[in-house]
Amino acid sequence: MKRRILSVLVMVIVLVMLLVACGDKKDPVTTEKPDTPSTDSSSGGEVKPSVEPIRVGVVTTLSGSNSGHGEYAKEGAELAKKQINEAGGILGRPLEIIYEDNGETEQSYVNAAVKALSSDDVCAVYSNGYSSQIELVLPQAQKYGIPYIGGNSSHALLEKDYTYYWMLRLSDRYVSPAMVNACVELGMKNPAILHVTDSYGVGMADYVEQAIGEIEGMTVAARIGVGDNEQQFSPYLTQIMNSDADGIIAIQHQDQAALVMMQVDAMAIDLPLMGCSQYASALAIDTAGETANGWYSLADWTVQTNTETGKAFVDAYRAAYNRDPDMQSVTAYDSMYLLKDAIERAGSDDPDAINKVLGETKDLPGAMTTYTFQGDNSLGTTIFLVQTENLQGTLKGLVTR
Amino acid sequence: MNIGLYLQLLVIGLSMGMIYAILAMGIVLLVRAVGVLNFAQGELFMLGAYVCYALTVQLHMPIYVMLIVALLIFVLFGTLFMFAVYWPLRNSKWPATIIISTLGASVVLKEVVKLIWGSVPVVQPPIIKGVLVLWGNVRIEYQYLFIIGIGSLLITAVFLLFDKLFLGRAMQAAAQDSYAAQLLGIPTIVTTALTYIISASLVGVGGWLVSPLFLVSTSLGSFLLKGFAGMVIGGLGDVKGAVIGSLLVGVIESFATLFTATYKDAVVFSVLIIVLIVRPTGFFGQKISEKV
Repeated sequence: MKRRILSVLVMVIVLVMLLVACGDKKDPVTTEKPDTPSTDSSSGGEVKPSVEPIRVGVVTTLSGSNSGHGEYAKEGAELAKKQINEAGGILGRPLEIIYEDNGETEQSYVNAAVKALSSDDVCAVYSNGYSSQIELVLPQAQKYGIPYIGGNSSHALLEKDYTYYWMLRLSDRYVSPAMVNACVELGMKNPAILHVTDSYGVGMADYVEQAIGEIEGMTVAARIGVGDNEQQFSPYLTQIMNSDADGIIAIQHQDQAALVMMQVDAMAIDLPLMGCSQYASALAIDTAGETANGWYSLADWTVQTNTETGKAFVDAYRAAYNRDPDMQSVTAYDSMYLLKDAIERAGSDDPDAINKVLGETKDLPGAMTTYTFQGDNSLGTTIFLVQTENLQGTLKGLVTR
Repeated sequence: MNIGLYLQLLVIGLSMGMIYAILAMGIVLLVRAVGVLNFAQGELFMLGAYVCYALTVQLHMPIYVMLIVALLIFVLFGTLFMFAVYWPLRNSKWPATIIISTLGASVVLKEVVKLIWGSVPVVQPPIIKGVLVLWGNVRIEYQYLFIIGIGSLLITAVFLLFDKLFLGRAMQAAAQDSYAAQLLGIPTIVTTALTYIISASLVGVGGWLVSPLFLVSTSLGSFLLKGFAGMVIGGLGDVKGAVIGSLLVGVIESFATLFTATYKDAVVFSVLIIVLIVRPTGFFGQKISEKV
């Protein structure tokens, strides 16, 4: 009996080890399929319901452990839809959003994105997926000829010549030098870099390291990459504390960012702390609680935004949902207005026409930033330097590309 | 040579090893008692974390009250688990039946937890806050020392139960030969239920210990793999081997981060394979001959 048990056990462990070696997964045990798409066709009173709507796909996480991201994104997109339709729609037609749940795995993300791209009459798709996920579906967006707007920021995707891909945020290539400059102002000369090892984390860490190398007298004390399913950061923080680092630059997604903040606090680390945009996200701050206070971040979004469009968005969002908007909300919101602007300039919802005029976007005021075509299919132009105080990102400065 | 760094990594590794040891002990107890590998052990561990989260954060119970209530819940759950997953299938002619039953139970537990607490991870506050500063940057979190302390107590208690107490000997006797034990007046249904209760309570407490270090989520169930690895390295069916093997896994995992962060799990399982090649029965396992 024991030999049989041992055989079964060894087989299971070897199989799991093979899975570990084959690549990182978001969650090794969850294989939820995407939900059936739900169509919300409610429109405001200003648009005639008999008119054919303009359909936009939104691919986001509506189930699983990251569903909080999707909830914020959906709220942002819905707020934009409500405002647009109440103001007469786009070219007199109501905006309709088709949601696809990308689940928790890369496979389910691809399934959801392809479903959105192949839906009838969808003129564009927005997704707040991770860079590594979006990268997988860009060949499909190219094949279908549908503009695919990403809420991600990995510059590597801009270098791959996908003409139907549009990056809403300022790319990491431009954020990283600004982040390093801010670190210098915090007194860092020998910071350690702790980053996630996916496309986003590695790409941004490379740019940060490059920017550090360009500053005289500044060096990298340690660079530690961890998988995107890592939850225990104490061994890495221990190594950083023993590396003569005089500060920490951390690049993670929201859940990991929360854990890093919690574990830095648990270890009573008293160093200047700089995080990527995710460290100022509402999701990370909600999870990390008081331990988020004190962290600096180069954030795409803060509710303390100083632009009129941004302030109006915050007020409308609070009124609609009784909570503060997250970065996921504002990127989804702005993407709907970006498409509205493009469709109106194109004079139709033909995907090719929209794609063409997206490349002519100039000085479009959004809630997050002002959008201007940058020559590399990125549209964002600014980013905020914030410090988390009393569980909110306090605006410390604005960095322009 | 940075002694401070190695000392800190050793403490972190030993504390995580304690968690794996608690998991592995729970598995070994069931293997010895009923000859079944419980693949739902990781989910019982996860459930322990969620139950303690609910009692502490949602119901605001003080720690002493919480521990008593949690232990009662683990006792109840261990009993329910045995009667739902093992007892109806104990006489099945196909040995894998109960293993598959435990696999099914692991899925059910995970989904039930998602239904109750949702799929978004939740946060359990630290049981003990603060760090012990030894010198310079050498600092050890009290939380890790607490895990080592409680883990040692639990391990000692299990050893005492089986080596010194009549109850433990009766449980071992029933596990080795239930027919002979019944002839001697030992009620096997009680000893089996006790084994399930002890196993569920052990991993439940393990879940509570580890929950402040991680986000409380369904992914905590994946800790089971390290417990399995520790058990196999130590020797299947041997409690002492499971403890030592698990501590080894924790320490290897911790020191592996010096060389690789992404593939530290692969390092652990590579060691497992090497041990199996060199010593297939594990460090403390004995060669078992199949009886005809």
